[in-house]
Amino acid sequence: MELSKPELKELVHRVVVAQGNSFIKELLRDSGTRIGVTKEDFASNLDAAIDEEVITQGKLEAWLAEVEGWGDQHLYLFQPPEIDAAALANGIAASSHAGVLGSSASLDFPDGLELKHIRLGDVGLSMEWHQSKEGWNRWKPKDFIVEEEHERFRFDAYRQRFDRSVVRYEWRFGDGYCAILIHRNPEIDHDAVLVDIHAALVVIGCPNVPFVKITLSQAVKVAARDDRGVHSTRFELDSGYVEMASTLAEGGIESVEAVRGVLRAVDASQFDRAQGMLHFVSEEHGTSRRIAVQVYGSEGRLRIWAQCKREDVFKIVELLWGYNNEA
Amino acid sequence: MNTSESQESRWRAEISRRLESGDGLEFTLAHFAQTVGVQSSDQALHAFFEELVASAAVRKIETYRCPLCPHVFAPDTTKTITMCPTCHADYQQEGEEVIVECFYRLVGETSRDIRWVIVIHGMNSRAPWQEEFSWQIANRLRYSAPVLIYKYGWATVDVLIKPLHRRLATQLGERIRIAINQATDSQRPSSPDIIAHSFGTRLFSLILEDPKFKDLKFGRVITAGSIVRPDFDWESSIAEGRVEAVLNHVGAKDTAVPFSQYTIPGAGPGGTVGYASKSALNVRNKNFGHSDFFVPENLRELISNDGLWHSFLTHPLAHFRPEGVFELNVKWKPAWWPVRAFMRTLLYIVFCIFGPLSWLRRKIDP
Repeated sequence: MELSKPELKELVHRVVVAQGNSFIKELLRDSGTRIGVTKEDFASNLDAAIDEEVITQGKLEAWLAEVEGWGDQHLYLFQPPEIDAAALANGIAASSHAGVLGSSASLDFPDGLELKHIRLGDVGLSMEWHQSKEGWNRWKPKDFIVEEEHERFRFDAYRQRFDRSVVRYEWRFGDGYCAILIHRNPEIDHDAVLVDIHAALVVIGCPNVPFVKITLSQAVKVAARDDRGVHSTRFELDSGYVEMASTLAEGGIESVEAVRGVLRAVDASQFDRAQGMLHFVSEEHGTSRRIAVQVYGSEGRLRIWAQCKREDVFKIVELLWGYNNEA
Repeated sequence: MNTSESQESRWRAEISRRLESGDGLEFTLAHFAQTVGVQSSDQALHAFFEELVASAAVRKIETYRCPLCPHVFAPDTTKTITMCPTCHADYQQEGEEVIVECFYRLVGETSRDIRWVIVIHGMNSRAPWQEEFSWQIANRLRYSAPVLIYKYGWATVDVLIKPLHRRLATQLGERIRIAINQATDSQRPSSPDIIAHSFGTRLFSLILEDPKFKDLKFGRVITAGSIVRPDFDWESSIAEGRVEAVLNHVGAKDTAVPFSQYTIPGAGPGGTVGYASKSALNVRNKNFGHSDFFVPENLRELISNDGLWHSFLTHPLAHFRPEGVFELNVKWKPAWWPVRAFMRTLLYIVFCIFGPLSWLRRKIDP
């Protein structure tokens, strides 16, 4: 669907400006237009670039696919379904979701989770769901106190907000895993989302078998053993746990001699489960910036604590996958 | 010295201490102020750190802290972060905002750990110091650091013949390879630290020279009472990453080492004159003789917290300048060859006479 210039500007105001400043600057810089300092500058410079046709719908959509719904979210790893690309293509074409195959960026964020986009290529399958999710922001200016019958009542105000929640299913055929990425909104019921995604996959022809989670405890243990940017870690058994952490900004456990000594004294192989906070940095890991990732090993879940780009998310998962497969 | 100068010198001393130990390199101003006993609002302290930042000796890291718990967010986190990973506070719902926090990071290396050690003894000895070392280090460290005590038997006249050195070195190299495989299987690093004494240093140097042991890598190496030649090429081993660093501990009263070049083929007085390699660190103890390093009280001292060996094995080396450090400034030359040739001939005769007896003794009592 081709968007008019006013629609493109609406996309800019509703979506683009909600993204992190560094990403908007990158978009403006790559387009060769003025950048600016504040969000207002960004919005007006983007408007001007749309008017001058320097930023086109294609450019915006490509950029949006790179940044919206990537980072500051939860990510689950599962075993990939047993189906080949040709069967998938046929399955999608024959399904009720055929209409969203290769669709353009959607501005629509309905109340319920809705599949908005499918991309099927030689290298992988990508599916994107949208949902508007309610949240409440504390709003102290609207607090008030009421006195009734010699009693005082305090009313704390909350302002309603709606998060643009993006959920993604990503499967690169060459990988031994597929990923489900869920927006950070705490009101989202992850189990319900997983059920919806599973149903959609079955509709497009994937076998109707339950998802098999890939646990990441070994990745945490290996990262902790080899001093690979672990800021905190917790090794668990049913009957107990040990936990250690660095409270520094950059330096992980390896930078705190006393805590490192504790880590050296722990035989991680004795523990069934492991979780931890890992930092990935550009110089060492090849990410675009420092990205903190919480790994819940036994759940096969990551919580990425920074807004980032699609390639960063894949890089992080690749690294963890590598750790997870080390002895 | 006025008050502000003395205060600043205390701060500098604290920074030097941290750089030398490789611990506490990253901190907030409040933490540092507490250590040096001033208020974190002290303007002089702020100015002092700004100066360090300007001189690139310190890096300033700006980040955020959770307002409700001690969690510190990774640098580059945006201020709009909505939740704390530690206390799980939802900032939007609770009307809270993250707090700006500044850390300072000294530009220096972090300390390292002793993960596992191989100790190699000298000649003519059962080396009870190896057991003592193992016991002391096990008691000293709060985590496990296995010590491989390598014994090649009571070597006497065997040291007079070069092929026997090679045979012993090959046995040692093969044993080390097995140990490295076992260590890596147990999730330990593949490069052990080494402590070698006297003839053990000669064997270790042969391993480094032997192409069939090119795959072996080592951590930090301490040679004590070394009979390795002063011109031994430590430089290449360090440059190739086969050895992390070398400490040559010299006993000023060592009377055995100077004779090694006359008696032991391939040997030299590295343990008295030092190593010429710029990458090796020579340290002289003015009271030690050839084996005094291993007298239990000296050994305890050397591996105590501030002891020379413990510091060498754990501290960053950029700032490691212990007492007694020296460089070999004069080019070392082996003794005049006719003298060495005469001595060797004499000692070959000794070997021919006592060699069979030594062989017989080693059969009965290795």
